[in-house]
Amino acid sequence: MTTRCAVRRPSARVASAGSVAVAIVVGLGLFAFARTGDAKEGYGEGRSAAPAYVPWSADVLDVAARVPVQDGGRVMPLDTFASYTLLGVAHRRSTKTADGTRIGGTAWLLDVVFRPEVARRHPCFQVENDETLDAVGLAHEGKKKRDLYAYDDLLPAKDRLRDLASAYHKRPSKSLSPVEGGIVDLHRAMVTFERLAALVDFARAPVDLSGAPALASHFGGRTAVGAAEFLERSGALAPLLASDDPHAGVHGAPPAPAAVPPGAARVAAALSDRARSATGLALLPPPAHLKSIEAWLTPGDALFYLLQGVALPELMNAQLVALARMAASPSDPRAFAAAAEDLRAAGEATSRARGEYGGVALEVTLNRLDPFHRAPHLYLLAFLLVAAGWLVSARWLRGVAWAVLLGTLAFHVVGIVLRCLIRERPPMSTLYDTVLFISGAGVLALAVAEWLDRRGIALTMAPLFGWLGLFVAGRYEALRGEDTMPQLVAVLDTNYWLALHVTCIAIGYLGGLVAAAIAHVTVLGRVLGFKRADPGFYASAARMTYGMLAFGLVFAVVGTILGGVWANDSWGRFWGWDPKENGALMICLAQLAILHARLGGYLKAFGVAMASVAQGMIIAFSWWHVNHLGIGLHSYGHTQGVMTALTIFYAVEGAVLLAGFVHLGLRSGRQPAGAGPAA
Amino acid sequence: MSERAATVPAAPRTPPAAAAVPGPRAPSSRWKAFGAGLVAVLSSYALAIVLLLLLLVLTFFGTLEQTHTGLLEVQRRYFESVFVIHDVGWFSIPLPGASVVLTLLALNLVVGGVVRIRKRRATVGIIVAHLGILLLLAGSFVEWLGSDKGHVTLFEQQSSAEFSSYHDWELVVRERADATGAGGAATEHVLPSRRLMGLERRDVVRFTSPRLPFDVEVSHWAANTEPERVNGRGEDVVDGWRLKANDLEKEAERNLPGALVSLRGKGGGPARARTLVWGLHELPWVHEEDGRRFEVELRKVRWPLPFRVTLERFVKEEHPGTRMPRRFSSYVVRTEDGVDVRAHITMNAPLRHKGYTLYQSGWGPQDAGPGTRLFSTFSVVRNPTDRVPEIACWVIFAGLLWHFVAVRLVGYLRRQAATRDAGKRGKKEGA
Repeated sequence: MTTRCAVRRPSARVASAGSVAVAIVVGLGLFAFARTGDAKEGYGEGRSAAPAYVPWSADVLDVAARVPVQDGGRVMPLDTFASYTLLGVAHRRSTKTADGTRIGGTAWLLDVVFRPEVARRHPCFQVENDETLDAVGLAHEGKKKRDLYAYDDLLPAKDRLRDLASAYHKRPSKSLSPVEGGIVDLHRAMVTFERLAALVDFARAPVDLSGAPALASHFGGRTAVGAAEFLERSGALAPLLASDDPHAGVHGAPPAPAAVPPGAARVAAALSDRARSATGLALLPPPAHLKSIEAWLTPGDALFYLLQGVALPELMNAQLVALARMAASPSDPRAFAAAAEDLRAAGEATSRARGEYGGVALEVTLNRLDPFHRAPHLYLLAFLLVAAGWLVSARWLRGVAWAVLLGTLAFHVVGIVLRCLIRERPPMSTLYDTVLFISGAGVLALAVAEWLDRRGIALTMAPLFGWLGLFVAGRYEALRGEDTMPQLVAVLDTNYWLALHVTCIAIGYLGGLVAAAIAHVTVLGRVLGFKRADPGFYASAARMTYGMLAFGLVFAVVGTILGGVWANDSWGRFWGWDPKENGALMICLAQLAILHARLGGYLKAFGVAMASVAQGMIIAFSWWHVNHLGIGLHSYGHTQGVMTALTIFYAVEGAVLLAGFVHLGLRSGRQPAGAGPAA
Repeated sequence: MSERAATVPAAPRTPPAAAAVPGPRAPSSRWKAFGAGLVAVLSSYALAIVLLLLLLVLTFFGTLEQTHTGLLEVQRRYFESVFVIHDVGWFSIPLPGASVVLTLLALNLVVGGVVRIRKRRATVGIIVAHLGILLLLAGSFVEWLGSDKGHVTLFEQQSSAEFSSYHDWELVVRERADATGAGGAATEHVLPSRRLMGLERRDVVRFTSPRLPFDVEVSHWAANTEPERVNGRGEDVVDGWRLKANDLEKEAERNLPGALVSLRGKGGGPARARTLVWGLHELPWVHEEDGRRFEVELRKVRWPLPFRVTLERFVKEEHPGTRMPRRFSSYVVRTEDGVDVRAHITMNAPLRHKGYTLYQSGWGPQDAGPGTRLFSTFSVVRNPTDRVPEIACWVIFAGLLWHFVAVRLVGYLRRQAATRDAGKRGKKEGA
């Protein structure tokens, strides 16, 4: 009885401590998940004496997010455009206003377009380093590295920035130093801001009709008419405005004859000036019967048509009127929301009729689900649950961990599937896509490995792998600040090869990376003396490392050769020693060398693990590094952040290998001569 | 009709290898032991691992080297050479070239991976995969030996029945049947690319043909040159001009070779005429002698096509609102034996016919405005092993899949199931 009590009490304490630990980790996880919403439209409290920021209503944000626009050759919801435009400027998915309120991409874009006087005070321009500011003569006392600046802060340096940036533009981007590259980026961000801020300038002031009685007669003789009201009658006014404006002829339209009533020429010239600045965003789809015209119009394009006497299609005019109403009512939430809805509805109707809206609705869903920014937090929660399972051996906890992991994986996969449906492409056609796919497929592979070999090793690695992959994807997205679903260049326009070669090679990468991940358990576990008394643990890790290497090898070899076959189909040569081809070959060679060394008895479990860690570095080189060498057919241009991250990765992995070698040296030193097994 | 008749001095024949003279019979056991040792080394895992790692290192260095050296030069130095020295800072690392490593790897695969490997169910997949790799290597070797790769550029409505190399040059002496040069039949005497491309500045090569009244001497060859005006005289100066040797361009296609060509009497003697030939010369140099007209020209190597191809129309599409190309399309007519066949060549959809493949590879002018006459460039390849890599790929895939899935994974699952069953039985018996 006593004995029983003595046994029970500690276990009860452990259970109690475990429950507390579980509560803490789950709480932390939920907190982390709750924070994912922060990046969305928020209404935080002010932090300074700056005028209080008036947030956009949820209705306005919801409607605006769904307005279809065209950018980079594809149709997308405004939400997407706003999100990556902000990424391009701030290198983050949300920013703060002058009074410290955190806002998301759509709110920021609405501020820039409709309340530029407010937006220019938002600290949203990220400057990578102080030297960039020094180079353009801007003070930065009290600011930290990668701090944010408002447009007004940068304005004094605008001319200097423009001069330097235009000089650097003439040089190859690879030859630019980080400071020079930073100047080019900052100038580009300012130009983007200015173009968007001027998008509805045409509608901010009334149209002056003095001296143009023929035009004023349409408004009961009034000489100052609001832009929206003026545009509502554009059908009747267009013939009166027709001029031989030198800017006429956009999209090949013929200039109209110059039979302009008195005073109308001056009105037309004033409108032409306004139209010139309204070209920052194409959100007016041409009518359905003109489907051969693929490029959407900016408000400026539409105004130029009007000035040539072309009556705008009804829905396009309705959009232009809605924009003018929005420009006139940013401080009237109800009127603004109604106008935004009109803009959205007319845009949706035309783009639906053109057969271009299907992807927009899906993309709105994807943006709302936001799986690739929410799933990392869920993966972290799954990891914390698994970690809690180390403290408390409870079946239910393991079950919950499994459920959270698989649920998160399903969420992750839904995101990938939605991207495929939106683009009508296989899962991978860009570097960013490969990260999403490899992290998801890696989690699946580890889950299968855990199911086969129930030691908890793969279950621990799986959420970490998913989290790390999506973290990298998020950082890369922020670094690039571009659309993550861009149109493809001509040579990539083949779903057959994208589905076959890219998928195979990505599975090859993931096999090798998962092997490398599990190999860390062996190397670090041995180094730190973890589970020293449990040889089965390491045997299990070794089995999984071998299995993943073999799995990776099959697909790496096939993917590499298929890449050559694709190159043969596209360019007429199977193998060209292109850096990306070389990288893929290096992975195959490394994996073959490890498997042969294992088969020949040159490497034992620990040696295979060490070699697998090194092989992981080769995969990083092939997957990321060669794309940023600035050479070859897969060059993505010079991206400083990627190279920095790679350097850190190589250093960390080098340290792991060094620790492994030290451990090996110490172990062989402790063993009697002749008794040491191979690594 | 042109006749291509290249005559170059024959290389001195090497004496035939001495016939094996029967001598005192060596102890057969020693030879056997040597042979067995050689086979053991050639078939060993150790050799395979060393060769795989060497190839890995070579590929790595060859990739990094491309950041400051052109691809063609890197290919030549690292992947087609017998020996390479890679410089890393102050250190020089000597390595065997990839051609040597690949040859040894093929040997290792044949001896160890196909012949000596144990033939049983468990190794079937491995043997198949090894055979697939050998097929791939053999295909690549045949391609390296026997393929022609070049390009043809056509403006709309233009046609051609030949294609030219990207970076190999040849020297041509053409004799026109019509001495006025007005056209008509011509006979071409070609100093082939392989005799020119490796020449050094100081080398002199003489080119002779019984059909020519003179010998052609080529000297002061440089792979990338530009003309420069000089004052004074020199052995490489012609009419106040010489060809200055420049550093090689990173992109080999941009190199413009040049040389001094001297026409000398048969068997030697002073030069009867001299000229500079340069890659960018648009017209050949003309030499007349005894009422015969000869044209001398340095040009890219050309190969005939067994059909004529005419570009009817080139279409370039861009993604809406951008300058990003979405599709390049060339609408061509292939003419053969008087029969016209229309074809459409676009990215990833080449035209294949009679062992030749035409790929869409370029277009221009890049600054073309509306109505500008466009040209389209096709890569042309004659490769007898065009389809071998794809076949090899599926053979390797089948082999690896069989080995790792049907043998290793299924075996592991069976063992695991057996262990579990044994455990259950043990529990029952224990109970």
